[in-house]
Amino acid sequence: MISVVALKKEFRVYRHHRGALGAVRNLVTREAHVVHAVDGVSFRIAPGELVGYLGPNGAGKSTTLKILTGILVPTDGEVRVAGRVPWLQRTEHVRGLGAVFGQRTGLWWDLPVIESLDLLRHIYRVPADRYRQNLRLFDALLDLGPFLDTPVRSLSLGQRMRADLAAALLHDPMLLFLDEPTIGLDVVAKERIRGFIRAINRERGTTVILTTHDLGDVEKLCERVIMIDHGRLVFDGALETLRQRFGEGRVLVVDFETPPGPLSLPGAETIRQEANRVWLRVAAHGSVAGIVPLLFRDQRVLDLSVQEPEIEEVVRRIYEGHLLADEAG
Amino acid sequence: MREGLRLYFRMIGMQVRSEMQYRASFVAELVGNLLVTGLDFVMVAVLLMRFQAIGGWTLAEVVFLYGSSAVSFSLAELFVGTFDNFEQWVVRGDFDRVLLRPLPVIFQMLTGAFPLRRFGRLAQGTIALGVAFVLLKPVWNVGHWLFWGVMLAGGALFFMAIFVLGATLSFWSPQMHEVANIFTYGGQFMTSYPMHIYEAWLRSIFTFVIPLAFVNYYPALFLLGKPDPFGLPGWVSFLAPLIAVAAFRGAIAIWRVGVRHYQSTGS
Repeated sequence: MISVVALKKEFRVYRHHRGALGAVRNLVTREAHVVHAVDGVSFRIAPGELVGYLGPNGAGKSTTLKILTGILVPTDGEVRVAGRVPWLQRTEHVRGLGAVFGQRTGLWWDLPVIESLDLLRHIYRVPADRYRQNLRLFDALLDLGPFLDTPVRSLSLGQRMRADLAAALLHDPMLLFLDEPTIGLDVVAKERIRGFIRAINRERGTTVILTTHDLGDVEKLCERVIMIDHGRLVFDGALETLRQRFGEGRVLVVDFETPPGPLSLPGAETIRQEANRVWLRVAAHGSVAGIVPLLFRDQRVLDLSVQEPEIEEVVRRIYEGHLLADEAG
Repeated sequence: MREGLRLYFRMIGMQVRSEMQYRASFVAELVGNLLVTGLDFVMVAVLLMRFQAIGGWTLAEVVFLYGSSAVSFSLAELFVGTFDNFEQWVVRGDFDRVLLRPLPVIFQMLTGAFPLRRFGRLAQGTIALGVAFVLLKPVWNVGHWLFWGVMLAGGALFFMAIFVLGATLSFWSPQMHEVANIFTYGGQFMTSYPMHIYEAWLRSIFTFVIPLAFVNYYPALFLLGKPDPFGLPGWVSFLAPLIAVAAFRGAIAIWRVGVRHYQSTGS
């Protein structure tokens, strides 16, 4: 579906002088420095995948997405989406994709939502019955009904995002790009949107690529994660692998009947103790099953629970660069 | 083609309805626009009535030129309004949306705005032309009328080309908009009056660098039966459609290069 090879995008950032005279000066003196927004990224995405494209601010996420959607022309590298080069065959390319770019709406700001949807139907040449069918389905999943006749500018952020999602999917695209689809939304709205994305991916087989800062989105939606930083790929694989490889291991929380003495267990270390509750970190590749019997050996255990490493923690550590050196080496 | 036209009107309809959402502001701007352009016109009329003629041009003749230029310019403004404040589209990243839709970019640009509130200039130009015709009482055959239509259309197309070029500059530097205004609104002002009132250097710019004179002044010379005071051969009066089409096509070609340089915004 998507193949990206050694993708590069450099931006020349010019020093800008202000005003009309400054504008002329800008043309004459071009003081530029080059920013490597995307610096040699390669990956493939198969049809039907739901991929999280992650990275800290300024990592190059949006730039990659804009190249894949045909908005930007890359400096170097190869991109094929459904066999096409996005920026060369723009119209054919975008006919088969849907995109929602976070804070910006693709709808007509001053007019009721339904008018935008109706115009998009004509732009994408969606047959009338298919249009009705889709509208009914999206209404069921996203509850568009209450605000279809409201001008876009009067919608809440959550309503606007729902309307934009519907608009992006009216023409049954094979590919959906979402840039921060849940940014700024409350928990209920986030859940609804995640449910919708999942449903579209599972039931229609739509390939979805989403960038997000909300790791809840990642945990609830993405089986696969591609992570970039400073324009370079730092991880590409299953979410579970990410957790295992970069997580500091699971934590075992044990409630003993009486406060235990210092524990010495192979493959686990005590990280915290409060009265008769103890937190033990199991080494990243260690086994909980191997440790538990040792706990029962000397004392009575009242309760036991295992905490998976928080993906948030994992990602934070990757962003902070602690683990990149290991990966690169 | 028919489908394209239908879509064109649908999209223009969206713009018009959007504009009508702010009825009070629309009416205020429309009235303001009419007043400002009207005042501009009254000023010229007063000056001309005081002096009777400018360098061999009668009041009626100047008003004819003035009205033709205003009509051409306002048509351009109406149809390519999106290009006029395109720097805003670039700064806000709104051009992304254009590139995401499966329609030719130019088509979307032509349907991205339809500033009806700028209607004032068209009204003013039309009234000016009415006045000119009443005063001139021209004896024209079909050829003349056709020629005049081509002159208006050529002028409109040429102004569109300037609007497109001005917008194209925004891909490299959004502030260039202010420079572009010199040539759009400045060009409109220049072409409102006979060329011989200007200094030679300014005249040369608008004859040879930005050949607006050929789509407005020279065709008018022919229609009014006046010789060229600068000694160019008579056939240059007929260059209008050629020059206008060439300018527009050139502008679109440069625009395409600009699109490939579009950098979008940070996020």
